[in-house]
Amino acid sequence: MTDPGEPLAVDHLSWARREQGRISVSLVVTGVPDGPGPTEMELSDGNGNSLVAPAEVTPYGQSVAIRFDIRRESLGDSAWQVSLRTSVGTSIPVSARLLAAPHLPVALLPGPAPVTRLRAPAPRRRHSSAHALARRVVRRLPAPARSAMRAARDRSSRAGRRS
Amino acid sequence: MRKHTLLRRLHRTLQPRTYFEIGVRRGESLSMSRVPSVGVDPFFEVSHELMCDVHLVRTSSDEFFARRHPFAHLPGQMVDLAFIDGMHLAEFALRDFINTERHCHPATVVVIDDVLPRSADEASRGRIGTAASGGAWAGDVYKIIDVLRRHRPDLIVLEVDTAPTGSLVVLMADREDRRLATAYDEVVADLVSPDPQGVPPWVLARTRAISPEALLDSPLLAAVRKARHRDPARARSELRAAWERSDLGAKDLTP
Repeated sequence: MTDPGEPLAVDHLSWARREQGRISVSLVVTGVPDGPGPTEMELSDGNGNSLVAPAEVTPYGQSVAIRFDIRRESLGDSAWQVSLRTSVGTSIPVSARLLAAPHLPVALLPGPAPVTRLRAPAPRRRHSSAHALARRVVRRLPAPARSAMRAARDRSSRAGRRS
Repeated sequence: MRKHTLLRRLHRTLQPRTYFEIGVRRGESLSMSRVPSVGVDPFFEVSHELMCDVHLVRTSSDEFFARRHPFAHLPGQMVDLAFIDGMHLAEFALRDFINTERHCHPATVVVIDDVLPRSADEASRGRIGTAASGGAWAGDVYKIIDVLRRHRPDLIVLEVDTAPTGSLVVLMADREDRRLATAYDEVVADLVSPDPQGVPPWVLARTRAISPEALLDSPLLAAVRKARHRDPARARSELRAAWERSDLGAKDLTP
Protein backbone atom coordinates (compact mmCIF):
# COMPACT_ATOMS: atom_id res chain seq x y z
CA MET A 1 0.00 0.00 0.00
CA THR A 2 1.10 3.53 -0.73
CA ASP A 3 2.80 5.54 2.01
CA PRO A 4 0.04 7.82 3.39
CA GLY A 5 2.14 10.91 2.65
CA GLU A 6 3.00 9.91 -0.92
CA PRO A 7 0.74 10.99 -3.76
CA LEU A 8 -1.14 8.22 -5.50
CA ALA A 9 0.41 7.60 -8.89
CA VAL A 10 -1.98 7.86 -11.81
CA ASP A 11 -1.83 5.15 -14.45
CA HIS A 12 -1.60 6.05 -18.12
CA LEU A 13 -5.09 4.61 -18.57
CA SER A 14 -6.65 7.68 -16.94
CA TRP A 15 -8.58 10.27 -18.94
CA ALA A 16 -10.87 13.28 -18.70
CA ARG A 17 -13.44 14.70 -21.12
CA ARG A 18 -16.44 16.96 -21.41
CA GLU A 19 -19.85 15.30 -21.09
CA GLN A 20 -22.92 17.51 -21.45
CA GLY A 21 -21.61 20.55 -19.62
CA ARG A 22 -19.71 18.57 -17.00
CA ILE A 23 -16.14 17.32 -16.81
CA SER A 24 -16.00 13.57 -16.42
CA VAL A 25 -12.79 12.04 -15.04
CA SER A 26 -11.58 8.46 -14.77
CA LEU A 27 -8.41 7.94 -12.71
CA VAL A 28 -6.71 4.55 -12.56
CA VAL A 29 -4.59 4.40 -9.43
CA THR A 30 -3.04 1.88 -7.07
CA GLY A 31 -2.80 2.00 -3.30
CA VAL A 32 -6.22 3.38 -2.42
CA PRO A 33 -6.50 2.46 1.28
CA ASP A 34 -10.25 1.91 1.48
CA GLY A 35 -10.61 -0.10 -1.71
CA PRO A 36 -13.82 -0.03 -3.84
CA GLY A 37 -16.89 2.00 -2.86
CA PRO A 38 -18.17 5.60 -2.74
CA THR A 39 -15.79 8.33 -1.76
CA GLU A 40 -15.07 11.99 -2.52
CA MET A 41 -12.56 13.86 -4.62
CA GLU A 42 -11.20 17.22 -3.57
CA LEU A 43 -9.80 19.69 -6.08
CA SER A 44 -7.59 22.60 -5.01
CA ASP A 45 -6.44 25.46 -7.21
CA GLY A 46 -3.48 26.49 -5.06
CA ASN A 47 -5.11 29.84 -4.20
CA GLY A 48 -7.14 28.59 -1.26
CA ASN A 49 -10.13 27.51 -3.35
CA SER A 50 -11.36 23.94 -3.22
CA LEU A 51 -14.14 21.87 -4.71
CA VAL A 52 -15.53 18.51 -3.61
CA ALA A 53 -17.20 15.96 -5.85
CA PRO A 54 -18.62 12.54 -5.03
CA ALA A 55 -16.67 9.70 -6.63
CA GLU A 56 -17.03 5.99 -7.18
CA VAL A 57 -14.11 3.60 -6.77
CA THR A 58 -14.34 0.34 -8.68
CA PRO A 59 -11.84 -2.48 -9.21
CA TYR A 60 -9.67 -2.24 -12.34
CA GLY A 61 -7.29 -5.17 -12.57
CA GLN A 62 -4.62 -4.76 -9.94
CA SER A 63 -5.69 -1.14 -9.49
CA VAL A 64 -8.89 0.81 -8.97
CA ALA A 65 -10.71 3.25 -11.21
CA ILE A 66 -12.00 6.42 -9.59
CA ARG A 67 -14.82 8.08 -11.54
CA PHE A 68 -16.15 11.53 -10.75
CA ASP A 69 -17.57 14.50 -12.59
CA ILE A 70 -17.80 18.19 -11.88
CA ARG A 71 -19.34 21.27 -13.47
CA ARG A 72 -16.97 22.84 -15.99
CA GLU A 73 -17.79 26.39 -14.85
CA SER A 74 -16.50 25.55 -11.38
CA LEU A 75 -12.99 24.99 -12.75
CA GLY A 76 -12.31 28.29 -14.50
CA ASP A 77 -9.14 28.29 -16.58
CA SER A 78 -6.54 27.10 -14.07
CA ALA A 79 -5.24 23.64 -13.20
CA TRP A 80 -6.65 22.00 -10.06
CA GLN A 81 -4.71 19.57 -7.91
CA VAL A 82 -6.67 16.37 -7.27
CA SER A 83 -6.90 14.61 -3.90
CA LEU A 84 -8.83 11.64 -2.65
CA ARG A 85 -10.88 11.96 0.52
CA THR A 86 -11.16 8.62 2.27
CA SER A 87 -14.21 7.46 4.22
CA VAL A 88 -12.46 8.48 7.46
CA GLY A 89 -11.81 11.98 6.16
CA THR A 90 -8.11 11.57 5.31
CA SER A 91 -7.00 13.52 2.26
CA ILE A 92 -4.58 11.66 0.02
CA PRO A 93 -3.02 13.65 -2.81
CA VAL A 94 -3.21 12.20 -6.28
CA SER A 95 -0.36 12.87 -8.67
CA ALA A 96 -2.59 14.56 -11.23
CA ARG A 97 -4.06 17.95 -12.05
CA LEU A 98 -7.20 18.77 -13.99
CA LEU A 99 -7.32 21.63 -16.47
CA ALA A 100 -10.59 22.51 -18.21
CA ALA A 101 -9.96 25.91 -19.76
CA PRO A 102 -12.78 27.27 -21.93
CA HIS A 103 -12.51 26.40 -25.65
CA LEU A 104 -9.66 23.94 -25.05
CA PRO A 105 -9.81 20.15 -24.72
CA VAL A 106 -9.93 18.93 -21.13
CA ALA A 107 -6.49 17.92 -19.90
CA LEU A 108 -5.63 15.47 -17.13
CA LEU A 109 -2.03 16.36 -16.30
CA PRO A 110 0.08 13.71 -14.56
CA GLY A 111 2.61 14.67 -11.94
CA PRO A 112 3.10 17.81 -9.90
CA ALA A 113 2.92 21.37 -11.20
CA PRO A 114 6.16 22.57 -12.81
CA VAL A 115 8.46 24.11 -10.21
CA THR A 116 9.06 27.48 -11.78
CA ARG A 117 6.76 29.82 -13.56
CA LEU A 118 7.46 33.40 -14.47
CA ARG A 119 4.95 36.02 -15.52
CA ALA A 120 3.83 35.42 -19.10
CA PRO A 121 5.08 38.09 -21.54
CA ALA A 122 2.78 40.68 -23.03
CA PRO A 123 2.19 40.60 -26.78
CA ARG A 124 4.90 42.31 -28.81
CA ARG A 125 4.32 45.86 -29.86
CA ARG A 126 3.62 46.29 -33.50
CA HIS A 127 6.64 47.46 -35.50
CA SER A 128 6.79 51.03 -36.77
CA SER A 129 5.66 51.66 -40.34
CA ALA A 130 9.30 52.33 -41.33
CA HIS A 131 10.34 48.95 -40.00
CA ALA A 132 7.44 47.25 -41.77
CA LEU A 133 8.39 48.98 -45.04
CA ALA A 134 12.01 47.89 -44.68
CA ARG A 135 10.90 44.29 -44.12
CA ARG A 136 8.69 44.37 -47.23
CA VAL A 137 11.58 45.71 -49.33
CA VAL A 138 13.98 43.06 -48.06
CA ARG A 139 11.43 40.35 -48.71
CA ARG A 140 11.38 41.29 -52.39
CA LEU A 141 15.13 41.00 -52.83
CA PRO A 142 16.59 37.92 -54.53
CA ALA A 143 17.40 35.02 -52.22
CA PRO A 144 21.22 35.43 -52.45
CA ALA A 145 20.93 39.08 -51.45
CA ARG A 146 18.66 38.19 -48.50
CA SER A 147 21.10 35.48 -47.39
CA ALA A 148 24.02 37.93 -47.54
CA MET A 149 22.09 40.49 -45.51
CA ARG A 150 21.11 37.85 -42.97
CA ALA A 151 24.75 36.72 -42.63
CA ALA A 152 25.89 40.33 -42.18
CA ARG A 153 23.21 40.88 -39.54
CA ASP A 154 24.28 37.72 -37.67
CA ARG A 155 27.97 38.76 -37.81
CA SER A 156 27.07 42.19 -36.51
CA SER A 157 24.97 40.68 -33.76
CA ARG A 158 27.79 38.34 -32.67
CA ALA A 159 30.31 41.20 -32.76
CA GLY A 160 27.96 43.22 -30.60
CA ARG A 161 27.69 40.42 -28.06
CA ARG A 162 31.52 40.01 -27.88
CA SER A 163 32.19 43.73 -27.31
CA MET B 1 16.90 10.44 -42.82
CA ARG B 2 16.63 11.17 -39.14
CA LYS B 3 13.85 13.38 -37.84
CA HIS B 4 16.17 16.20 -36.88
CA THR B 5 17.65 16.24 -40.36
CA LEU B 6 14.14 16.59 -41.78
CA LEU B 7 13.46 19.43 -39.39
CA ARG B 8 16.70 21.18 -40.28
CA ARG B 9 15.91 20.87 -43.98
CA LEU B 10 12.39 22.17 -43.41
CA HIS B 11 13.80 25.23 -41.65
CA ARG B 12 16.09 25.81 -44.62
CA THR B 13 13.47 25.20 -47.31
CA LEU B 14 10.50 26.91 -45.70
CA GLN B 15 12.35 29.86 -44.16
CA PRO B 16 9.66 30.19 -41.48
CA ARG B 17 9.14 33.56 -39.87
CA THR B 18 8.27 31.99 -36.51
CA TYR B 19 8.84 28.61 -34.91
CA PHE B 20 7.13 26.70 -32.12
CA GLU B 21 7.99 23.43 -30.48
CA ILE B 22 6.58 21.25 -27.74
CA GLY B 23 9.16 19.02 -26.08
CA VAL B 24 12.38 21.04 -25.90
CA ARG B 25 14.37 18.56 -23.78
CA ARG B 26 18.06 19.38 -24.39
CA GLY B 27 17.35 21.89 -27.14
CA GLU B 28 18.59 19.95 -30.17
CA SER B 29 15.61 20.80 -32.38
CA LEU B 30 15.23 24.31 -31.00
CA SER B 31 18.87 25.02 -31.83
CA MET B 32 17.95 24.86 -35.55
CA SER B 33 15.74 27.92 -35.41
CA ARG B 34 17.00 31.37 -36.37
CA VAL B 35 13.68 33.14 -36.00
CA PRO B 36 11.47 34.22 -33.09
CA SER B 37 10.58 30.98 -31.36
CA VAL B 38 8.62 29.55 -28.49
CA GLY B 39 9.61 26.27 -26.83
CA VAL B 40 7.46 24.52 -24.22
CA ASP B 41 8.62 21.77 -21.87
CA PRO B 42 8.02 21.46 -18.12
CA PHE B 43 11.39 19.70 -17.73
CA PHE B 44 13.71 21.24 -20.29
CA GLU B 45 17.45 20.87 -19.66
CA VAL B 46 18.95 22.78 -22.53
CA SER B 47 22.52 21.82 -23.33
CA HIS B 48 22.58 22.86 -27.00
CA GLU B 49 23.45 26.40 -27.88
CA LEU B 50 20.42 28.35 -29.03
CA MET B 51 20.72 31.04 -31.69
CA CYS B 52 17.29 32.54 -31.89
CA ASP B 53 15.04 35.00 -30.14
CA VAL B 54 13.32 32.46 -27.89
CA HIS B 55 10.70 32.27 -25.17
CA LEU B 56 11.34 29.07 -23.19
CA VAL B 57 8.30 28.06 -21.18
CA ARG B 58 8.66 25.68 -18.26
CA THR B 59 5.15 24.32 -18.05
CA SER B 60 2.96 21.67 -19.61
CA SER B 61 1.75 22.38 -23.13
CA ASP B 62 -1.88 22.33 -22.00
CA GLU B 63 -1.20 24.98 -19.38
CA PHE B 64 0.76 27.00 -21.92
CA PHE B 65 -2.17 27.10 -24.31
CA ALA B 66 -4.53 28.11 -21.49
CA ARG B 67 -2.64 31.41 -21.13
CA ARG B 68 -4.35 34.51 -22.40
CA HIS B 69 -1.65 35.22 -25.00
CA PRO B 70 0.40 32.05 -25.33
CA PHE B 71 2.26 33.29 -28.41
CA ALA B 72 2.82 36.82 -27.18
CA HIS B 73 6.50 36.41 -28.04
CA LEU B 74 5.90 35.80 -31.74
CA PRO B 75 5.32 38.63 -34.21
CA GLY B 76 1.69 38.40 -35.22
CA GLN B 77 1.26 35.65 -32.63
CA MET B 78 1.11 33.10 -35.46
CA VAL B 79 3.17 30.00 -36.09
CA ASP B 80 4.81 29.23 -39.44
CA LEU B 81 6.52 26.00 -38.45
CA ALA B 82 5.61 23.80 -35.47
CA PHE B 83 7.27 20.67 -34.11
CA ILE B 84 5.16 18.61 -31.70
CA ASP B 85 7.32 16.18 -29.74
CA GLY B 86 5.79 16.22 -26.25
CA MET B 87 4.12 13.43 -24.28
CA HIS B 88 4.11 10.24 -26.35
CA LEU B 89 0.47 9.46 -25.64
CA ALA B 90 -2.23 9.82 -28.26
CA GLU B 91 -4.56 12.08 -26.27
CA PHE B 92 -1.70 14.46 -25.41
CA ALA B 93 -0.48 14.63 -29.02
CA LEU B 94 -4.02 15.21 -30.27
CA ARG B 95 -4.56 18.04 -27.78
CA ASP B 96 -1.22 19.53 -28.77
CA PHE B 97 -2.28 19.60 -32.41
CA ILE B 98 -5.78 20.96 -31.63
CA ASN B 99 -4.34 23.71 -29.47
CA THR B 100 -1.49 24.57 -31.86
CA GLU B 101 -3.90 24.81 -34.81
CA ARG B 102 -5.68 27.76 -33.14
CA HIS B 103 -2.51 29.76 -33.78
CA CYS B 104 -1.82 28.63 -37.32
CA HIS B 105 -2.68 29.79 -40.82
CA PRO B 106 -3.28 27.55 -43.85
CA ALA B 107 0.41 27.65 -44.83
CA THR B 108 1.65 26.62 -41.40
CA VAL B 109 3.58 23.36 -41.42
CA VAL B 110 3.00 21.20 -38.35
CA VAL B 111 5.37 18.28 -37.80
CA ILE B 112 4.36 15.66 -35.25
CA ASP B 113 7.01 13.22 -34.13
CA ASP B 114 6.91 9.51 -33.26
CA VAL B 115 3.90 8.50 -35.35
CA LEU B 116 5.37 5.34 -36.90
CA PRO B 117 6.49 2.89 -34.20
CA ARG B 118 8.47 -0.09 -35.46
CA SER B 119 7.01 -2.61 -33.02
CA ALA B 120 4.16 -3.08 -30.55
CA ASP B 121 6.66 -2.52 -27.73
CA GLU B 122 7.64 0.87 -29.13
CA ALA B 123 3.93 1.72 -29.44
CA SER B 124 3.13 0.89 -25.82
CA ARG B 125 1.57 3.53 -23.62
CA GLY B 126 3.87 2.41 -20.81
CA ARG B 127 7.59 2.29 -21.42
CA ILE B 128 8.45 -1.38 -21.78
CA GLY B 129 11.15 -3.42 -23.48
CA THR B 130 14.03 -1.36 -24.78
CA ALA B 131 12.08 1.85 -24.21
CA ALA B 132 12.21 1.17 -20.46
CA SER B 133 16.02 1.44 -20.62
CA GLY B 134 16.22 4.58 -22.70
CA GLY B 135 15.63 3.13 -26.16
CA ALA B 136 13.27 4.63 -28.73
CA TRP B 137 9.70 5.05 -27.50
CA ALA B 138 6.96 6.30 -29.75
CA GLY B 139 3.98 5.58 -27.53
CA ASP B 140 0.60 5.40 -29.24
CA VAL B 141 0.81 8.77 -31.02
CA TYR B 142 0.16 6.89 -34.29
CA LYS B 143 -3.55 6.78 -33.34
CA ILE B 144 -4.01 10.44 -34.17
CA ILE B 145 -3.34 9.82 -37.87
CA ASP B 146 -6.75 8.23 -38.37
CA VAL B 147 -8.40 10.76 -36.04
CA LEU B 148 -7.10 13.63 -38.19
CA ARG B 149 -8.11 11.95 -41.46
CA ARG B 150 -11.55 10.94 -40.22
CA HIS B 151 -12.59 14.19 -38.57
CA ARG B 152 -10.64 16.63 -40.75
CA PRO B 153 -10.50 15.38 -44.34
CA ASP B 154 -9.62 18.97 -45.33
CA LEU B 155 -6.17 18.64 -43.80
CA ILE B 156 -3.19 17.38 -45.81
CA VAL B 157 -1.74 14.64 -43.61
CA LEU B 158 1.57 13.11 -44.73
CA GLU B 159 3.33 10.24 -43.00
CA VAL B 160 7.07 10.63 -43.52
CA ASP B 161 9.52 7.77 -43.23
CA THR B 162 12.05 9.27 -40.83
CA ALA B 163 14.28 7.49 -38.35
CA PRO B 164 13.73 6.26 -35.83
CA THR B 165 9.96 6.45 -35.33
CA GLY B 166 8.49 8.43 -38.20
CA SER B 167 7.05 11.92 -38.53
CA LEU B 168 3.69 13.36 -39.57
CA VAL B 169 3.54 16.57 -41.60
CA VAL B 170 0.20 18.36 -41.52
CA LEU B 171 -0.81 21.27 -43.75
CA MET B 172 -3.92 23.38 -44.28
CA ALA B 173 -4.50 24.24 -40.65
CA ASP B 174 -7.67 26.19 -39.92
CA ARG B 175 -7.65 28.18 -36.70
CA GLU B 176 -11.45 28.56 -36.81
CA ASP B 177 -12.26 24.87 -37.21
CA ARG B 178 -13.56 23.24 -34.01
CA ARG B 179 -14.35 19.76 -35.30
CA LEU B 180 -11.31 18.18 -33.68
CA ALA B 181 -11.96 19.84 -30.34
CA THR B 182 -15.51 18.44 -30.42
CA ALA B 183 -14.31 15.03 -31.57
CA TYR B 184 -11.76 14.91 -28.75
CA ASP B 185 -14.46 14.21 -26.15
CA GLU B 186 -15.85 11.41 -28.32
CA VAL B 187 -12.55 9.68 -29.00
CA VAL B 188 -10.44 10.16 -25.87
CA ALA B 189 -11.78 7.15 -23.98
CA ASP B 190 -11.07 4.96 -27.05
CA LEU B 191 -7.55 6.36 -27.44
CA VAL B 192 -6.71 5.38 -23.87
CA SER B 193 -6.49 1.59 -24.13
CA PRO B 194 -4.34 -0.88 -22.17
CA ASP B 195 -1.16 -2.35 -23.63
CA PRO B 196 -0.40 -4.09 -25.87
CA GLN B 197 -1.67 -1.68 -28.52
CA GLY B 198 -3.14 -3.15 -31.71
CA VAL B 199 -0.87 -1.26 -34.09
CA PRO B 200 -2.23 -1.39 -37.66
CA PRO B 201 0.02 -3.18 -40.17
CA TRP B 202 0.21 -0.03 -42.36
CA VAL B 203 1.82 1.78 -39.44
CA LEU B 204 4.42 -0.89 -38.66
CA ALA B 205 5.29 -1.44 -42.32
CA ARG B 206 5.09 2.29 -43.15
CA THR B 207 3.26 1.39 -46.35
CA ARG B 208 1.71 4.87 -46.62
CA ALA B 209 4.80 6.82 -45.67
CA ILE B 210 6.60 9.01 -48.16
CA SER B 211 10.32 9.50 -48.14
CA PRO B 212 11.55 12.71 -46.54
CA GLU B 213 13.50 13.44 -49.70
CA ALA B 214 10.30 13.32 -51.76
CA LEU B 215 8.67 15.83 -49.43
CA LEU B 216 11.64 18.17 -49.36
CA ASP B 217 12.01 18.10 -53.16
CA SER B 218 8.30 18.57 -53.78
CA PRO B 219 6.97 21.85 -55.24
CA LEU B 220 4.41 21.66 -52.42
CA LEU B 221 6.84 23.34 -50.01
CA ALA B 222 7.45 26.21 -52.44
CA ALA B 223 3.68 26.60 -52.64
CA VAL B 224 3.61 26.77 -48.83
CA ARG B 225 6.03 29.70 -48.81
CA LYS B 226 3.99 31.60 -51.39
CA ALA B 227 0.72 30.83 -49.64
CA ARG B 228 1.88 32.64 -46.48
CA HIS B 229 1.24 35.93 -48.20
CA ARG B 230 -2.23 35.05 -49.43
CA ASP B 231 -5.56 35.40 -47.69
CA PRO B 232 -6.68 32.11 -46.09
CA ALA B 233 -9.15 31.14 -48.82
CA ARG B 234 -6.66 31.67 -51.65
CA ALA B 235 -3.89 30.03 -49.64
CA ARG B 236 -6.02 26.94 -49.15
CA SER B 237 -6.94 26.84 -52.83
CA GLU B 238 -3.32 27.11 -53.96
CA LEU B 239 -2.09 24.53 -51.50
CA ARG B 240 -4.85 22.11 -52.43
CA ALA B 241 -3.96 22.50 -56.11
CA ALA B 242 -0.25 21.99 -55.42
CA TRP B 243 -1.05 18.92 -53.36
CA GLU B 244 -3.29 17.44 -56.05
CA ARG B 245 -0.55 17.92 -58.63
CA SER B 246 2.11 16.37 -56.44
CA ASP B 247 3.02 12.70 -56.32
CA LEU B 248 3.27 12.60 -52.53
CA GLY B 249 1.35 9.42 -51.83
CA ALA B 250 -2.35 8.52 -52.09
CA LYS B 251 -4.77 11.43 -51.98
CA ASP B 252 -7.69 9.83 -50.16
CA LEU B 253 -6.83 7.87 -47.04
CA THR B 254 -9.95 8.75 -45.05
CA PRO B 255 -10.57 5.73 -42.77
